[in-house]
Amino acid sequence: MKLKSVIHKFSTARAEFHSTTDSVHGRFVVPPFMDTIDLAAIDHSMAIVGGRGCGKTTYVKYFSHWTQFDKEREDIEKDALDCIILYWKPDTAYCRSLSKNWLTEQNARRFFHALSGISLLDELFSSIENISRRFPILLDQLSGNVEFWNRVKKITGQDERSVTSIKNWAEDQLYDVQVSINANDISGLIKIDPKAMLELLLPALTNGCDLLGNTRFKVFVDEFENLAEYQQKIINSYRKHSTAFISWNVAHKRFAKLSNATDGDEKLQHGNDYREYILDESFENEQEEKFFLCELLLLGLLAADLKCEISSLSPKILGDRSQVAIRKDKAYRKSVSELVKRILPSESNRELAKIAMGMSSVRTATKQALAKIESLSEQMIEKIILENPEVAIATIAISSQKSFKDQELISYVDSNFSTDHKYSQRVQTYLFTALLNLNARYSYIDIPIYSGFDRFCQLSILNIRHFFDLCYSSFRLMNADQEIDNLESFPNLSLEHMHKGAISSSTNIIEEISTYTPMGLTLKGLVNRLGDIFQIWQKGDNQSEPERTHFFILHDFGSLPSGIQEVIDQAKCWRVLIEYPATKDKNSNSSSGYEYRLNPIYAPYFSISFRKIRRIEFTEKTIFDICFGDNVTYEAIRSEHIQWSKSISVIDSDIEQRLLF
Amino acid sequence: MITLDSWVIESPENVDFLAIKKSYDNAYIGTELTLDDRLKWIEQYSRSIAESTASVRYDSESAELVFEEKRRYSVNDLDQIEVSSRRVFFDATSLLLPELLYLMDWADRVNQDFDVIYVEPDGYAKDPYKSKIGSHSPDYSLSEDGSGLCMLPRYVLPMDRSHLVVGLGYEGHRFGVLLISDEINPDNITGVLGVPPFELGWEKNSYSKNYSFMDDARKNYDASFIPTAANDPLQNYQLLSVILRSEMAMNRRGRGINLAPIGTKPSALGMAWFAINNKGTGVLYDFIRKKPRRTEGVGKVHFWKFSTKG
Repeated sequence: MKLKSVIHKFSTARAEFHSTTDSVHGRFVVPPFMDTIDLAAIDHSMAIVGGRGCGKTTYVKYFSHWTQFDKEREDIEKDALDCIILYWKPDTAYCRSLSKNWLTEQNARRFFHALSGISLLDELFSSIENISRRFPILLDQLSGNVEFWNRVKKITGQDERSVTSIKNWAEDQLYDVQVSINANDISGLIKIDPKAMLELLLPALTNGCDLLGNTRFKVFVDEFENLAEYQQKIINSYRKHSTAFISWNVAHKRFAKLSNATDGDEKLQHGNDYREYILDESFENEQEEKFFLCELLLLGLLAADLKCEISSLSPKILGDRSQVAIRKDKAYRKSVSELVKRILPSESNRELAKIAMGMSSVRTATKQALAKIESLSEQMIEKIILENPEVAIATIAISSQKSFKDQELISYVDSNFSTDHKYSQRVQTYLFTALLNLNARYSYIDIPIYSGFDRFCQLSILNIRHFFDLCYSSFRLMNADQEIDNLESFPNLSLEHMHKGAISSSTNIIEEISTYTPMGLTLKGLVNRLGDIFQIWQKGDNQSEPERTHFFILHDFGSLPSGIQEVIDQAKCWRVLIEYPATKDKNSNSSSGYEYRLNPIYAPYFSISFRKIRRIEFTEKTIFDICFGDNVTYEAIRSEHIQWSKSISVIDSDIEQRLLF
Repeated sequence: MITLDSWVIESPENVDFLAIKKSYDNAYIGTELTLDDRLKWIEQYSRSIAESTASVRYDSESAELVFEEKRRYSVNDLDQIEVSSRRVFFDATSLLLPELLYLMDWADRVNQDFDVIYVEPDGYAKDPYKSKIGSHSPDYSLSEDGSGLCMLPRYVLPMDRSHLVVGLGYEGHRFGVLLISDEINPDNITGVLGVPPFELGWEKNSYSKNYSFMDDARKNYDASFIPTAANDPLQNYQLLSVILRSEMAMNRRGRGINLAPIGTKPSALGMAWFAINNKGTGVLYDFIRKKPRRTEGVGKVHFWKFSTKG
């Protein structure tokens, strides 16, 4: 098989693009936390929450009847009939256009009820269709279930008693609703309420069909945050009155602005009325999450029907809950990790320094930097470069610091680079900084610092969508015409291809920011300006304050001014910035309580660090100007940072401590 | 039913403001006339050619057309707008797509014949700053953040399973919003590229601003891209007719065309015209806020005559 077609299959990472149905069968990896967040087993109403691209939709779709009863599935789970999950992703752009400003409040609600009711009726009959494929007896039981069909008739007015006829009726009705909306005419509109409809039909369905005698039902409303406020209130009322038999649940982006109001006077209470599950924080530890990404990556490559020598690695086993134990096997985990690390090899910083020193441009720049250290003889410089390239490169950063003493370096060289020497520790601390500095400072130097599986994990902060994008951008640079027989013959990527792939992916993701409505252009401006400021510090001559990738806002206690808060909220929702509780700073008098890190996926574009090391403090005014100021205002801020980055005023030991711990 | 009767192209130098007769009772223009050179020109022109000039804006909060910040008409009651015995005049340069759509809709409902003018820019302003930090192509930022993508009242159509036709312009992010939005999941996408452009060579800007999004659209939606002249509403209209016929040939209820007129204004004019003549077509708009001084100079002037009694 041509590598080209494997990469093409891999390229569409989002679940939505893969299938004409909502099934994710064969494209889902059971995560280790599945027993904790078992959508079918949890009784209370749920909100599945997570950052963009963390896999919420795929997770919910896995539990839905679409995947549970997929016709391609060989075995179904033993308790699959205990809980049927109906998945409803509203056409939110369409639903939001049903607004009271042109339809009147009453009509807008009527249209939304009609659309959601018909869609859910269609979804219910899809579930019957899917279940009956596995359990044909359901159709027999259904045909004798007079009460159920009488109730269906109450809603549809149809005498016909087949799944297909009701689905066709639903399609026709949706068309009629569509026409009525544009004419703003409710005269012929079907009267339907989704909750009342399910409460009417489902008891009759379960009472009259033995197969479903013990079945409970859940409705999952995906992309909940994109519904209009009054629509959220309607769904919230349903959530508030969920029962063990029929529960209403939602999935939405984390930090999205949501209504907690219902149609009545009551509010929806977190804890009492629903529980929230944050998907991207549900892994026990980073190792588990990284291994999950390994499996996802290999599953993505297997999508092109490649064979694999690891016998337990197959879409079937990866997507099967009962096979989780196999995936915990040490030998299996070792084989999977080794395969991924072979495809995406990670070199240590020390190895990167050796590779870099092989580039004449790096050698020249390093020699020039070391030559500035007066007491260092030419022979000594040659010795360091030849025998210990990482010491030579790290010294570029170390020697720019106020605390640097040339005798310390000389004594280190004289000790024959003893690992016990104090200087050795500084080399470890500053080597990566120096590599970043070389890349940022010289446009003709390109050390592959963003390459390798581990660094891809750091850049993507384990976000599935971004991790896949990094891999895909790198794969695209390979010679795609070569033939491969199986996963083991998938070529290993070169460091250069991964590094360039990361830059290309980062560039594309930055381009994408302007599309993050409703403040995309503001967020893109913010990222460009923050990246620019961090880059100033990264490439400065003085490397005592390197690797600045986050900031905090100096202000009095209380909330931030509304303009800034709005930008920060949007930035958090789109994962442009990541919020952390602020660490105490002995130099500051006041703190905003939180600090904000630029998403590390943007680091390759700006040639800056992807590690969270040191922060910059901004006043409210400065951050306001960074968000909204014109170019002249921003240029003034920029110039200030250029000035500050040149003055050596920082206590180096403070940084070293941060780097160490 | 709106039909196009004639199309005349003039050079701005040939337009003598002193010699113009007042041949219209009413001219309708947009509200932000100080944004660039051609809008200043059009304001002067419309005041010369009509007895009365009214500014019009669409208020998306209330779904109303607002005339001179005084009279308001709901999009449901457009036929209450006063009719003129003579033709009326719409300036497509300053009127935004929603205003143009609803004014043409009104004209269609009350059989009011109308003329449309559009003035091409001579050049586009480039943002001097952004190119400095990494971007290799100039940033033609014509707009600032708006309220986000919405379907326009009375032109709403389900997005799922629809065919989305997008006009592509200099602002790739406006196309990108459609692709990246979790809300926009059509069955097909067709991108309409303004080629030939207003000035030969400008098409490379459209390509460079859209190419990565075009690549995504091809990958995820198997999108196709079709060139139609940037200043030709008729070609755009005809293209949409072909797409609609092919959708109808599939004979499935519920399938329809959603239009996203975010390309050049003449292509948006063609899309608005098509949506009015083909009820059931959806129209999406992103309500961006235009930046001041987004274009430079005054280029060719287009005059289209439309009639509504056909």
